[in-house]
Amino acid sequence: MTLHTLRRPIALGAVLVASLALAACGTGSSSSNNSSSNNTSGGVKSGPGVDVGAKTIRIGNISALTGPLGILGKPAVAGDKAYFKALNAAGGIDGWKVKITVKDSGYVPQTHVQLYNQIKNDIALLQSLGSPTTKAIRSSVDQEGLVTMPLSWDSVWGTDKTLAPLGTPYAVDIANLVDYAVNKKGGKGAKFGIIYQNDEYGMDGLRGYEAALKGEGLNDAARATYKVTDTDFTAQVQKMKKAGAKFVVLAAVPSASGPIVGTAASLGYAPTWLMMGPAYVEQLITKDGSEHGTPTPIAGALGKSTLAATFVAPWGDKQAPGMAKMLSDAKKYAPGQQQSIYFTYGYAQGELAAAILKKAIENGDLSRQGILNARLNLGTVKLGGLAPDVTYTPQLGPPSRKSIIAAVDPTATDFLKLVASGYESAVGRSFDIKKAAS
Amino acid sequence: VKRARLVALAAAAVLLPFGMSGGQLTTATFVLIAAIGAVGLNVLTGYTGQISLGHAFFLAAGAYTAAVLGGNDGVSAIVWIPAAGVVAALCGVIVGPTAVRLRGLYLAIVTIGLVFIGQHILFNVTSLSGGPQGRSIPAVQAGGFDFSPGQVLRLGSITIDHDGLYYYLALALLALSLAYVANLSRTRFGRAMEAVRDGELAAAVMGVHLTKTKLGSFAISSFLAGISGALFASYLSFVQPSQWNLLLSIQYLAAIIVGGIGTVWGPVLGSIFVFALPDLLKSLPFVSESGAGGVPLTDLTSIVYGVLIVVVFIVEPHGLVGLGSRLRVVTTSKEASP
Repeated sequence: MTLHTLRRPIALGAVLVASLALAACGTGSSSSNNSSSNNTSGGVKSGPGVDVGAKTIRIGNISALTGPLGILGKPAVAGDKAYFKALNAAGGIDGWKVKITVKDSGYVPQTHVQLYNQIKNDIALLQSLGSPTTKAIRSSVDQEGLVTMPLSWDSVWGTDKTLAPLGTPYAVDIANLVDYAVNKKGGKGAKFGIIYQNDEYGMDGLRGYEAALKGEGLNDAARATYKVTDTDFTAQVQKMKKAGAKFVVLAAVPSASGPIVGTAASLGYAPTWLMMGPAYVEQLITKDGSEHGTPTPIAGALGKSTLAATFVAPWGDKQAPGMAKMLSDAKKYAPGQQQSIYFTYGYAQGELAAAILKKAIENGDLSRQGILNARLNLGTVKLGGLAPDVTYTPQLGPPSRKSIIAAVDPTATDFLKLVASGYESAVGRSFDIKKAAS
Repeated sequence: VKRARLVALAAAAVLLPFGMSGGQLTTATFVLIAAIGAVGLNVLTGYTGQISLGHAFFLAAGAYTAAVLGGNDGVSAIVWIPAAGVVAALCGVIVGPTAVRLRGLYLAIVTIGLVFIGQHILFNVTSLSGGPQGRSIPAVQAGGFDFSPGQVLRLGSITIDHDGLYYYLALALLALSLAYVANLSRTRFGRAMEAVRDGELAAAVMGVHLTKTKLGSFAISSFLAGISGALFASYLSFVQPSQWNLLLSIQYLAAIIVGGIGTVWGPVLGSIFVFALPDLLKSLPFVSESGAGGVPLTDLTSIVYGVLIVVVFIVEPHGLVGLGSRLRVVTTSKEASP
């Protein structure tokens, strides 16, 4: 190499001059995104991802189709796509068609950032799967003013004006679920316990549990934690059993909630399990999650007495007015789709995205700022009972404080029987998400 | 001729961002940042012959120095970028003594331990890492410069955005590290490193101070890893303890071996191969929309990527750099016989 032949003084001088020249200037804020795209047509202000001539709006969905969360990313994307295919076939939003660009980040934050930069200039709205992945692009979407819908129920999302979360935060869900157990399941004066994952996900559940304890004056018998990589839960279950907990909250993921219920059954311990939304998945009941699959060894134990704060209505639930349309859309636009709570969630998220875009079209402004205004002033959107109704106001806050509570029943479709839709509690209503977000 | 080639390469690297889309520029920036770390590992493994699987630990040391100094204390990037290197280098010196007693695969195993210790600390010391859910890392800020998203640098009619700023910063630091390592290999210390690699006993007999040489190369290697880790974390803006894992270390080792171990340009070529190829494969025209049936796109790219690594090793054991010199032989022999 010839680098050493560069005479040192010359090289040093060049570096000095260059750095002085750079130091003389500095960075400034970009203000280009509102000047370049003001081509108004038909009374609608345009922006990135919007083609006024063809009347199409492109949205992005950075999901996880592979990796650890692929199992839930796939049905969620399928639900999202099915909703928009049906919407477009029915004439779109006031004649506007919506197209989706799907990208697979594999739940890797770095890939998520790369894909975000790849598509951000071509989309009007973004759906983004996962907590750490969405946090990696959060400062960029905030700055860009690109409305982003996370597929995740962290309490922190409710404090950000650019983010458009769907669903009740974990902490509020758990507070409602415990309240339900106390008032409708004879939990007054009974002993409660909690097993939670020792990270932010589990902590959010614990905060709801603690709020409920205080609000309801509950008997807190035992608490146990586990690491997401743990495979043996005997110690945690023994702790609950010894304390005599009649109700045990599981702020866990399916890879832990399954073995916990199984371990308890083999020890002859059968409390009422209170599951945080993601703790439940169809695959806990049958091996492939389908209606007629081989039952798992724990299906019976789960069926005895388990309540789950599911984030969507059970598949095929007749009480949800929007269910019939979703099922017919699934049949038509996602043939072969088996029952999945994540399909329902993706479908409901599509519905919410369409509601935001509809509001922006009504306001005649599809620019970044226009869509952001539509999100902030959306008001209440009913999602046909598929997911809790969403309320967005400029004051921010959680999109919903109501919970969908279902009992696990291996004989029902989706193995869930709805027991309460839109359940609210005093503790859940007053829970301060800002405290959780800090 | 060599200097002309170098100038052309530099000019191409400087002009490259203007011909790239946003996604490509992001990938290129990640590659340049990774290359700084790979150049560092090459000093240790390529020149001194010490196999280390602990590179992720030193990258993390740099990243969390940036987090604490830049994030918690609000210190200027002019301080925290070098500080990230220094802290990582100190970690290297602390670990170094084990390297003096161990060699080859034994050292590789011990350095794996580093990765696990590092992750254990990061998962549990919440004030440092934010715990398992991760923490945000500040953008580079120094004087009038702010590399946050949405900030632009205007030079006449040219504007450079957030991604471009990181690209040029990484490019400049990579150029500095390359120049440093290229010169280092020609110094007394550089020759000592190579002597240790080629035969410890022989080197000791010749009067090479083994402890000093190994410690020094650990320090240099970790210093560059720390800088790379700090830039990586800052550009990514949010990091979690779980990502500083063994796989990351292995990727760096793969990068320097694929590129050409113990050569100046090897780590750069290897970083392009290891860190950009998966993304390039994904953007090929005939594999576009994901989510359809069959083999998922991401799986397909991992398979292609794995096969390519195997092919490179079989066909060109000296790495991509070897391919370059082979090409040169072909072209020069043509020139010689008109």
